[in-house]
Amino acid sequence: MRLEHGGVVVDLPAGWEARARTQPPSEPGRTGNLLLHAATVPLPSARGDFGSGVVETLAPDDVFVSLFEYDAADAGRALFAARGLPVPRPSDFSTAVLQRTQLDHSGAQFFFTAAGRPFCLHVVLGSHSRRAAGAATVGRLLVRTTIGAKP
Amino acid sequence: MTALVVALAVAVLLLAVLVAGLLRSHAEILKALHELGAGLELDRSGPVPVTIDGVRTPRTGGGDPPGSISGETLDGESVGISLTAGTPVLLAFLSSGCTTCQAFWAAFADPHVQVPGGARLVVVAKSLSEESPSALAVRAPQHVTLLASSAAWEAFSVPGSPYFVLVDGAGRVVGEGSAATWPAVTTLMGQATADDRRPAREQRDEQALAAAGVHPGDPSLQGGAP
Repeated sequence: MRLEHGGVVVDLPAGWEARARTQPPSEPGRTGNLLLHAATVPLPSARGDFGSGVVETLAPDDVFVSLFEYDAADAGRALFAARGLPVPRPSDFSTAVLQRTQLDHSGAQFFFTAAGRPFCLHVVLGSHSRRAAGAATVGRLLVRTTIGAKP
Repeated sequence: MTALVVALAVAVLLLAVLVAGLLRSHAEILKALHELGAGLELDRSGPVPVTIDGVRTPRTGGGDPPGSISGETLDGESVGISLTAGTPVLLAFLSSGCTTCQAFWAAFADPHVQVPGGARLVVVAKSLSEESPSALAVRAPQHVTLLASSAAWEAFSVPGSPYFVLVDGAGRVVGEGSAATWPAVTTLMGQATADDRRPAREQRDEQALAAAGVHPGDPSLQGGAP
């Protein structure tokens, strides 16, 4: 299944659900930024930018991914110096990288620039002790994700 | 006398016009029935088969259903939902304007609505270019995913609304159809789920018997006193 929104194309693997929307502009006159959520669990319509409302439902083998775009003016900042969409490794995950500590959940966060657009990739795994399998699941999604220029 | 004859002539004329009109409408009905395939076949006994456009025949296995559906929500989100995620999904194809659908919109407003087979309920409306977003917004339940996707209607060959398709966690359609009320739908889909489980149960029983050394045709399966 191909999901396309705001210049980002995701060829969703089987078993995944995704939602993408254009956020309201941070300032009048600017264009809205993309927010893409993907998970191996159903995504409710009401959920936080970094997964609140979803991550609570993750089983040990489930994962949640948030691709959050920042304003284009931020692309030159050191925080977004990394180039291209990263594919997380199991060693990238930590129980400390979470908005709220959940039972055995694990998270990873990456800031990067792709196609001139600054992003944060926030990933939550259902189980830190099963992060090798979880990272592989996330990898299967991200290798099928393409970030293009902002429309 | 002359007046009576004239009155009778007028009455006969009116009756003749009436009979002619009735004959004409009858002929039109017969013609319409003939076009529907229910024309008289005097050399054939028994009921006349009728095929009406828009009423689908049951899915026979040809044309696999899609493993996912995609569309947009009323607030402009692009959404893709997998139908092979392991959880059964009940797709409710509804319209904002269909009278029968109103009972289902009302039923789905209940946050504790019971879905047969523990399935996830997803309401599928036609794409927002073919639907009324404002009318959908009034009816859309807050706690149920509503997806606008004419492509999903086409993919599942939905004949009209309301229509329900129950997909198991592997993307297989285990039941589909329509009814006028939500309790009727839950009954039908519950039966479909039970019927779908039956072959698995029978297979399990056969495996247990085989493990015990009892195979098809074994005399002990014939009943009666040993």
